[in-house]
Amino acid sequence: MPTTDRQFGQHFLLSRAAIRLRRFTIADLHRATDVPENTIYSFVSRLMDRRGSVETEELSSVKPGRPRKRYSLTELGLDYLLRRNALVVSLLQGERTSGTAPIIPTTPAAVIAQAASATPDVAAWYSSAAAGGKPSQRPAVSAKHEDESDENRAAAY
Amino acid sequence: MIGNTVSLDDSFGASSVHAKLSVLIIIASAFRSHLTDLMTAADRDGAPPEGMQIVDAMAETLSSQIGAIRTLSAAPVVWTQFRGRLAVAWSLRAQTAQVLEQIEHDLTIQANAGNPHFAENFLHAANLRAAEWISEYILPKVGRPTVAPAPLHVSYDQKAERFCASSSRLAGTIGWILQPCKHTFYAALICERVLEHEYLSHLLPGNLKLSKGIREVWLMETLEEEHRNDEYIALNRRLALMTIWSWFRIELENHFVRNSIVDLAIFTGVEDLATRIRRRSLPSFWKMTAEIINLSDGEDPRPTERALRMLRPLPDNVLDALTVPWTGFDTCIETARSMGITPP
Repeated sequence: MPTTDRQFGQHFLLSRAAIRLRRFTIADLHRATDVPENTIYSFVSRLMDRRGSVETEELSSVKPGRPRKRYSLTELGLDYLLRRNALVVSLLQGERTSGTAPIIPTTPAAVIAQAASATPDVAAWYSSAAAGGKPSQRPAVSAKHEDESDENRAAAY
Repeated sequence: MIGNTVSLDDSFGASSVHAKLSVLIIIASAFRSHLTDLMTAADRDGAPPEGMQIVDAMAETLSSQIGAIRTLSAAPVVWTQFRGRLAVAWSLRAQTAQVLEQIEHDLTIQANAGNPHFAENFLHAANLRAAEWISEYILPKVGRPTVAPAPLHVSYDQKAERFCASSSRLAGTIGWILQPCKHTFYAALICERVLEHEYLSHLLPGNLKLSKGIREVWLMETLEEEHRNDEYIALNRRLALMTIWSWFRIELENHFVRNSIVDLAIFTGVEDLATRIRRRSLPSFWKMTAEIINLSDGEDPRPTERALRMLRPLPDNVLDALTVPWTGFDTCIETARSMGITPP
């Protein structure tokens, strides 16, 4: 996903929850992050596109609709998400983008300020997260660096 | 003092405050015994509700009711409110309902047993197991001798402003805090792990000035990963406990960050790094952890913190170059400088 994608920040939040839970349903990730379910489906779908990143177990359900599934991160998937998160931290710290020494933000406001100097989408995501503690709104983002994707960068690791 | 490790704050002299603790522990104890069955039954029956949703419903019920509990007879009342909450939200199917009946049976027996020290005995046993686990699984890897169980002091935090457990290395004691909030129930369900965290992150490190990032994140991850790989516990049980532990951490983080009690920085500083390094080089991970825990009070902990912050955003190949083999935090920073990386 390009770093300028609207859902980039939300995917970072979902990565954190997925790493922590290791086994999760869509409902689990929603409960942990308050990110909208459609975004969670998109996050899981991208993970599944990376062959061998998740194992899927179909669960019985009492409700009609999409079959309920539980996803388990594999070693490959875990490594991938850990690398992605490291990349996001490097963007938040401004280390890669500006070459300045990384500084750890101490408050949500400081995170927003630092993210603003790193990438506009991460800043927007943190802004929405800080407003009421629910990062559920897609941040409005101006497209920039369209040719760079976090996956391409992660692959370069 | 019960069994030499548990003592209660003066506030528990009031029977109404003691009843709050007793009811919490009686319900948590009954749930713990059937946790694996509950998760399995909910899976088989089909969601909703999932096993965790049921556990969460009890956490919500207790969170809202703890303040109102005055006597031990409140235990069945809390249970009835919990079942009411479930009934409003979902229609329970056979296997899940059966496990809940078993839990109710257990807690009714315990509530009627009239054991005035049930909660203290429960916490005391958990404390012994925590000290034993840390001694067996962690300390040999960081070159430290076994640890004796520390005195456990229980207090009541009506406003839920403090951590659910806390420790004083100088006094050598652990505090267990009863609070009217959701994570109190989770903490009671997995109290051994909460106490293990107190030993590992707060009582055992030699340096009093280690940052929260190291204590609450790096050392917490150390504990978590060790449990995740503990093959002496049956897989289903391990998964159930890991689920509770993970949600406990999520609830705790949400509570403290959203109420501005803890800075986000403690998470963004070294989060994931312990897991990454552990997966890339187990010997390096344990050498780093040993260096952290064995840092003495006379030493400056800031280079350690700086090195961890510096390492976290680095790509794998650079991370490996700086940590495998591990030669110490000071050397790590010097090597990084020689590679053109500026530590924070």
